[in-house]
Amino acid sequence: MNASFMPSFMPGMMPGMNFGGQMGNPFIMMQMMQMLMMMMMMMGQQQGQCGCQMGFQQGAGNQFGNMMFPSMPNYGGGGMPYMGNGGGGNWQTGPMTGVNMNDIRGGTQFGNSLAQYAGSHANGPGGYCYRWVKQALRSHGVNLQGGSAYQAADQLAQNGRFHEVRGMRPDQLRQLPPGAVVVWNRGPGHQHGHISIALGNGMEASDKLRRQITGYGTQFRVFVPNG
Amino acid sequence: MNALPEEALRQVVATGLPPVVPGYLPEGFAFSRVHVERDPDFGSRYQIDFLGPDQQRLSIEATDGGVGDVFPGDESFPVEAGPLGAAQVELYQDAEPVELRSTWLELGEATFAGVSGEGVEPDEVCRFTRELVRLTP
Repeated sequence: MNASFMPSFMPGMMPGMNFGGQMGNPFIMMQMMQMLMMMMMMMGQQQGQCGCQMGFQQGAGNQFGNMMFPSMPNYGGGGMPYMGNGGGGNWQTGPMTGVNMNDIRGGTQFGNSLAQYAGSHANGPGGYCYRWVKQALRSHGVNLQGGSAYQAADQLAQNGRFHEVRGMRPDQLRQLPPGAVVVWNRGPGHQHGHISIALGNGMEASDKLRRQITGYGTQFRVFVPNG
Repeated sequence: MNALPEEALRQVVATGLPPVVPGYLPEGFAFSRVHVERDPDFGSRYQIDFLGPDQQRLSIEATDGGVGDVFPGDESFPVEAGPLGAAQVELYQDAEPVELRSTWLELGEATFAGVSGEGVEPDEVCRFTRELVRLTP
């Protein structure tokens, strides 16, 4: 790890630190776990700079905890995303600092039309998100290839009808403008990933209509429609 | 066991996707219909429906692309589908009738099959999935 990147709390975590016999204290242990997880997230950010690989699954929180919509698990919770780069490509790693949503709010004619199409065609059986999103995009002149949802990300990054917004926090996904495309990477337990089109009201459409997923357990990339 | 009429099987084979048929059907279930899609951009897809005496449905689906994860349900049932590999059958209890869907089984490069059901007991869907048969055209 680059020493200049060491967070201020790290000296207390150096090897040899005397924990004063508190290792058996559940509260202390929980605090240590939280600090360790923060360190791992910081290292994840480093991954983007040094190209090294580090993968871990969510540690705290329960992404499948509460039901938010019928027949679907709660993907709205926080939880720590899988930071590995399972799907290849240019996936965001490390903590998301957030973006100024005023910069991307509002929507465009193209985005509104795309969202309207996607929202009115979200009548699939489940498991076909990429097929439905491909269809919505094709009806607007954007052609995607590949069999699994995560494969859309690199293609959208190269497409002039969209621009990628990086650094977005998961909780900001529900404020996306109409037509924004969110692609979730593959990872452990997520063989194909997920893709959806934001409707501009906190909902997303693919083959199903549901509340915008914010905690899927893998990394995401966001593509906002241009004018 | 091949519960498909010859014409239905011919339509499935014509998609170019590997034909997958039931090796087991619950009592009272019979072939209902086959739905086929062929699109130069999206590839092919078929769905074979079997209906039970009270309109319960069991389906086999196959596609050569356009898939995403099958979301976890209220309950998950692990299934070993023989040479087709391992899957999870997900139960969505809030749907009416109750819905079940297996995660995708890989048939080949970017080619997948799955099972879905409505109003069927999870045990039956698991057995239906476990005993799927991939035919050699």
